[in-house]
Amino acid sequence: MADQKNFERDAMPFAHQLFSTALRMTRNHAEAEDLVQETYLKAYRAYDTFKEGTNLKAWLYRILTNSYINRYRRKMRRPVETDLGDVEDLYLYRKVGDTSQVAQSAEDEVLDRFVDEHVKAALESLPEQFRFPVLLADVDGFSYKEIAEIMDIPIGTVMSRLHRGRKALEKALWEYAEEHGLRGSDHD
Amino acid sequence: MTRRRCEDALANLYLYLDDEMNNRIHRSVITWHLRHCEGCTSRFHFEERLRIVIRERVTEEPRQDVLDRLRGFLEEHEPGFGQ
Repeated sequence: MADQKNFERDAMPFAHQLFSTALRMTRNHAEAEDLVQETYLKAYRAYDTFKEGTNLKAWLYRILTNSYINRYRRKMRRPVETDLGDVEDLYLYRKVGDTSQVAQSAEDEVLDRFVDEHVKAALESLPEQFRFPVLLADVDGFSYKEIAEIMDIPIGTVMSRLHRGRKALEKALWEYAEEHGLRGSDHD
Repeated sequence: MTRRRCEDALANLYLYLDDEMNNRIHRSVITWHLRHCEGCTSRFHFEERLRIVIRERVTEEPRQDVLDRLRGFLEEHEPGFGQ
């Protein structure tokens, strides 16, 4: 069991990353800061229940996610009611492929033109049941099993929401790109 | 390259990039395919690059003021913190 006097040394290095994720969860700076403070207070008080040698980062993210769910009365385990619509596989690759033929650049070079604000807005536009798995996998680097434990949902649910969420994100990214004139227009 | 191999690779694109394929032999078959198929390599590479771009764009710069307030909050509620 972990010793509370090591909490600062062990847990504080993750604070920045948790704040960054909390900001994408709440979409609001003040609320993200409150959520991280609540998470760390709970974690500090429960630190003697944390099993040393297990995954501290995942443990902190589980407290963060639970705090979010309690605070906003969300139900992550509820079956998804939101219809994201069917997005075809490789959606963005195909769209960008058409563009890069025009701009004569490789597909992945077009990606470099996406600006922070649009990627953040596209991610934040996803319903949270899809946004969280995408955030936890693609930004925070957790495995399916870790995400299942953090969100307290079955691993199969993680996979289907992650896969659908990613495709929906690709579509949202493309819509932002179209709206804001990304298409081969990096010189204007 | 056979169409069947391409379909199999693309059907497993997420699992492969997530390193979540339980069947290691199946994973090796896809790795081998990627070495020999330009089309699939281009698609896999794009998805990989997309993830890097997403991660880079949405991760906030560390904020010292946020961390200072967090420490202050913990010290206020838990006098033992930081001792």
